[in-house]
Amino acid sequence: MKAQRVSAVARTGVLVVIVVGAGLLFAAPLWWTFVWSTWHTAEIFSFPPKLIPGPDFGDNYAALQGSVGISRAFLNSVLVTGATLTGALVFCTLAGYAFAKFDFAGRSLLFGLVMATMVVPGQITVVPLFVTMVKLGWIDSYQGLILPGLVPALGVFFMRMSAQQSIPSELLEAARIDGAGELRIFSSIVVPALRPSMAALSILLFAGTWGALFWPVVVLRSTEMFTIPVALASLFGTATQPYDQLMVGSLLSIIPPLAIFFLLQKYFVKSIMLTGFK
Amino acid sequence: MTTTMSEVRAASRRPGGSGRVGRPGRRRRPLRVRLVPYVFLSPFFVLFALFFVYPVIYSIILSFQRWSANSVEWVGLDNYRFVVDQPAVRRAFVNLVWYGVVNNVVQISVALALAVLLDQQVLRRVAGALRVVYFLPNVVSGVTTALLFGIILGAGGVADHLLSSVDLHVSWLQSTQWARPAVVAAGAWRWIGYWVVILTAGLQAIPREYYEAAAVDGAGWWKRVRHVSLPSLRPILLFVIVVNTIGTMQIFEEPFLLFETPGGPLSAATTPVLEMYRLGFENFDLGGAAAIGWLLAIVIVVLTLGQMVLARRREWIE
Repeated sequence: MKAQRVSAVARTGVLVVIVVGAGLLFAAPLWWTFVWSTWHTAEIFSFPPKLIPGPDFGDNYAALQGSVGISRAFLNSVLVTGATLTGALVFCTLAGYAFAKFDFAGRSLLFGLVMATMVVPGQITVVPLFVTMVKLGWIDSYQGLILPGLVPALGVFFMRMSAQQSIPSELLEAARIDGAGELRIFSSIVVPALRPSMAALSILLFAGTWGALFWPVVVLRSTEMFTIPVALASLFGTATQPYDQLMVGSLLSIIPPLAIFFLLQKYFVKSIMLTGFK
Repeated sequence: MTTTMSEVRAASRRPGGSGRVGRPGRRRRPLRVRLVPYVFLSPFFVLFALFFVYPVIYSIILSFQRWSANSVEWVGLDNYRFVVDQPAVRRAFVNLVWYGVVNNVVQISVALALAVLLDQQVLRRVAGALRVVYFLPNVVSGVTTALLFGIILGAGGVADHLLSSVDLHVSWLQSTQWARPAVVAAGAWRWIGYWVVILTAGLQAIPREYYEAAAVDGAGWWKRVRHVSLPSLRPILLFVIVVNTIGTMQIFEEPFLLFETPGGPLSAATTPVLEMYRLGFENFDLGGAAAIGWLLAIVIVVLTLGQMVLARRREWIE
């Protein structure tokens, strides 16, 4: 009996070592992003590795501001992400609600089209979009950067499913009988009912937009237009590869998604399950 | 309000009346009302047609054309022949298979192990906090992940020093041999916690009685995992593998930014999306880039459909 209890304690000990050790492995690079942003490149590559913050954050930030204008890049990222999320949420919610709660000619055809495109990888649109943007003169512009991101097929699929599940048709009928207009019904019944789904969808879209590199690096040209990922990629491409500056930029790029994660944590699992429909 | 609600209920009991607008058998509504769904759909579909459907169709056309300074020429399958003959493109598609297998094996097995361990009763107080820690790397962008692992795995970086201290010398980012494992390491850090969260949701859906019944039958810890947890997780495991495989097909940032040259030494770690970028936007061969895009799209569509069929067949067998 005693031997059994000892072995149970030993087993729990091993278990704790494994799961906590894994936690340290996952957390260490995040901590280092912060620590490395406060040292110069020479110290970043010193051994034993730096584990506590140093004195050089101000220096590194100033250098980064001088080389790529990081404050402007941060604002660009906020602007582009904000516009993309707002637009995509409005368009996907309107379309998803229409698919879920109205019968109309062409409904299955249009929805089938949206579904079919979900299998096609978005990257194949990049070359033709680039040609289109050149023709429109929208290279290196906010509209060229933002517009293609406003129509995620996944968003329509998800909002349609959510509307089917969480909006009783009887409620809509009752509102219509009471004389409410369609826009009024949308804003005072549909939007409130779909708010948790909108939160989940915006978390998913946020991650994809905030960190996006491929399309932005293709469509942007001038430093003043760069988002954070493009600014960092362009700085990395220079001969010196200033890791101290790159870590300051990385730290700045981590803070907003981290804040959103802690504020909206309860919606995260829902948004993660949503990726399955991609 | 009460009368209107009961009228509505009566209406919805009528045959064919589901409460939706415009069902056959109901009084035809005025045009203004029938236009409502189209008005709601139009903002999405106008942009969707312009910025998704049209580019997809246009990319097929582009892949059969050659663009030069002042002319556009139809060249049939030349672009496809050209890209298939490029060593870097071939390497990219070989790597795709390699990444697909290794990413799944590494990420899913570790995530499954961690999810099962965290599901143990003794850890219930700390499991939530640990899961948050595992998940945190996922909020980091691909660019930042690549830069971080450039330092960690780079010459003179932490991994180098630690391995040197036990006399192992691995130049992760400078050798053709270790370039792909470096990409896998970066991806594993960013994604394992994400899979842990999904698998945990699956584990928590398993009724506790199953475990109790197994324990009554004398099943030890491993037998309970093997015969209760794993079989119940099978559908969600398949889902995770599908999502992970399709994500792996689109790797770009890590091989682009992890190494001194994009794609790593001799393009050892390159991927189709990266080669598409290089061909299209560094060499301005738009037709060739479109061709790579379609080769990749075919792989992804076939894989997606194949996995769906496989999932269905397994259901039939059991």
